[in-house]
Amino acid sequence: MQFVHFVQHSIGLFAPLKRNFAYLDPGTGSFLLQLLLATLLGGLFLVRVFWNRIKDFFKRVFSKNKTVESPANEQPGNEQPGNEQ
Amino acid sequence: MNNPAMNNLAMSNSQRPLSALDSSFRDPSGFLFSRSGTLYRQVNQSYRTHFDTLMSSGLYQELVKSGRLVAHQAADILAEIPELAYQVIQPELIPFISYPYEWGFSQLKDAALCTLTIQKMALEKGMSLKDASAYNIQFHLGHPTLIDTLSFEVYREGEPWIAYRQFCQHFLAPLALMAYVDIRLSQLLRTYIDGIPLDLASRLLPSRTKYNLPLATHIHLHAATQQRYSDKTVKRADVRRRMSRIAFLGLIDNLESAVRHLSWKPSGTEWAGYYTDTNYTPPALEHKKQIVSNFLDRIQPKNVWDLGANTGLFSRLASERGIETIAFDIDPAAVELNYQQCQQAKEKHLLPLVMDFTNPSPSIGWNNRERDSLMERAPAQAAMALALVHHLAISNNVPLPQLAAFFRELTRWLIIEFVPKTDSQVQRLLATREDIFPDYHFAGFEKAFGESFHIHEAIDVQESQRRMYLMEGMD
Repeated sequence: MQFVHFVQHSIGLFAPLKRNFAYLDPGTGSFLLQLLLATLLGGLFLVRVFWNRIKDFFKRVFSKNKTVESPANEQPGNEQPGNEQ
Repeated sequence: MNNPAMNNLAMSNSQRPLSALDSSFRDPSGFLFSRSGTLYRQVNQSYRTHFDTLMSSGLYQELVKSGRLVAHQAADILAEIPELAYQVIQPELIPFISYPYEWGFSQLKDAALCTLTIQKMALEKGMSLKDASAYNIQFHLGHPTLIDTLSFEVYREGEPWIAYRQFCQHFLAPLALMAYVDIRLSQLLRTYIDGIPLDLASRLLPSRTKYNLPLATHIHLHAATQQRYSDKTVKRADVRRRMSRIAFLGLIDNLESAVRHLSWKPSGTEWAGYYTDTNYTPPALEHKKQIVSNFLDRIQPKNVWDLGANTGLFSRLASERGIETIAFDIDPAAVELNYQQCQQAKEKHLLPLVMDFTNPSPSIGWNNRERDSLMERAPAQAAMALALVHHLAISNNVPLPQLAAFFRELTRWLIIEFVPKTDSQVQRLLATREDIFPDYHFAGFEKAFGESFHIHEAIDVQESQRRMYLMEGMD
């Protein structure tokens, strides 16, 4: 319960936006673990995005004669549901 | 947040109307209720800003268009608790509600990936999921979809994902246990209503999962961190770090990768090879298919439950006619193979589910009412019980009159196959036990079922000992 208050207080500092008393208990440990991993996860993500861009670049360079797939197709979030595998 | 005016707008549970659904009580943003047989969702004032952002940002449209969120219409009716209400909406209905402990491996995996995709799409529009419960996902038209329109909140950079713990417990832990330990561990979801506790998952998983970085982090380390802080209070002043948007995206990305890499190959369970070594010669199988097809055309049911459907060979006779069909089977391998076929063929009217009819899903959760038992989700208009009766009557000693009563509660129309003692499969069941079934024969079966059903047709299957019946329940 104290933890939920903690979240609510910290949000109050950000903006006057009404926070909808996130009813879910996020869990103190889960909350702190994310903060602990934040830098690492952010770094890994940037590396992966960067690496994908490098791969796309080389794909385009080496397949100039073929029709090139638009990079938009490879953006996350564009998959149709059910084809998630 | 200490604004007293706002406190008045928060709905307390004592104000919940009796018409509100028994599963819809935790979230003060709103609740589901039914009126005159229609399902509505009240959106409360406290949720107003988030709801408006969902609708105006384009997120709603994008999610509905890609089939990831149920659509809704504005409902021009009086709210259930008007003093709290902002709006009332009428959501699109899901024909059959199923629960994560009834899903096969890939269904749970697809539901997990769907949740993460929704979260990514939400972040792009400045929103975030405030919960990640597997019960918010339902299967509709062959794919997973979010049914809780009020799951979204405006994203504020700096905060970690509030639903991270829930995602790990509802999705990642059960999937990892199914993949690394035993497929049957999805049944733990029936006992643990808020997902599998991470410390339990951590203990059950083999130690080699500690060398898998995502699992080591999101399950093992996560469990340890939960234990460490379980009795500690953390003051805001002590927490200096924030979680940037990039880190947030990194977390979602990492979870997605963890889920994608989990796999299970169905094999070695007793039914998966069923159709390659059954009691049917090719003509017998064809004749049986013909009989079922004719019966279905005669009944023209709105929906069909296929009990003991295996990989859905006969279920598809119904679903390919556009009839909403559920293919139940006790074997997770059969359900998995069935679902994979559904995905490949993009089938829209077939839902495979895991179900043991000698011990079907009970009602669980708060007040034993949050999640409905299987019988509470009955009746179906028509049910098929092909090559099933002997498993219930002989293997499980259920007397035929009790079977008949069970089916009568389950359905109005019944397509059922009786497998007599002369059939080699029944002989196999009786091989190592005493035959205590004096009434288990055609006459005994017809007498027992004749108490609750009109028997319209009885057709012997060619080149087989078995007989197919078409029955209609008596009122």
